[in-house]
Amino acid sequence: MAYPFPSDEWLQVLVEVLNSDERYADVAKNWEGDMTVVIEPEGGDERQDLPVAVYVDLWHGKCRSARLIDMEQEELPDAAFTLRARIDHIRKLFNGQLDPIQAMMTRRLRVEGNMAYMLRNVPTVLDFVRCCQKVPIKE
Amino acid sequence: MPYYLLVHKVEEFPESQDEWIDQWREVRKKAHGDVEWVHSFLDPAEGKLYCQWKAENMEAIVKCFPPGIQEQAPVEYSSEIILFDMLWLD
Repeated sequence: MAYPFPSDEWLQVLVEVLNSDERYADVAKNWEGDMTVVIEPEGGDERQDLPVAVYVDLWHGKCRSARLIDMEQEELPDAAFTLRARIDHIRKLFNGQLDPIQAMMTRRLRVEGNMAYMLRNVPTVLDFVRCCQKVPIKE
Repeated sequence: MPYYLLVHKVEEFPESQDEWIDQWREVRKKAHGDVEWVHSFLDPAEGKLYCQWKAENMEAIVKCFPPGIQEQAPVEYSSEIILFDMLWLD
């Protein structure tokens, strides 16, 4: 089953995946850091529902909480990391067409937060994206 | 041109995305003509960066390093290496 993206349904399935995936639990066992992902419209995109943000609280291989943030109603949380990307780039990340490291090196995925921590924990970042790829997105 | 492998011990990772990208772009900008930065592989567990270069000699590679990089990620091993391309088996 595929889920609309971004949506609460997609996010809840992602939480289930993160909290049941043994590989993620192992790879991310030392990760401590919540994250907000701001999903921006493509250039010229008239979508009214963007930008929107996804907040995930990731802690020692588990996702403690997750929610969508309506940026018109609420300020972004003060998370350890804030990532920003256009929705088409995020879709490419989640369907495997765009490598996460390449996305960061080209600033298609912009990172605010401690880059040193992220680079030391690249396997966790890559495995988080692998888990995201397990949740099918409705085209 | 010969290939070289350089192993850096990463003592200090860049604090921001911009610092990381700008630093690597600076290296790449200098690496042209008789020197090419081909690939890098990061071993985050060991904090090591394995870099493959094509160059006439080691000096040409070292000239590409921006100031401070030798302290941030000192070279702890370097050697001229020989390429075995698996595509040649096809």
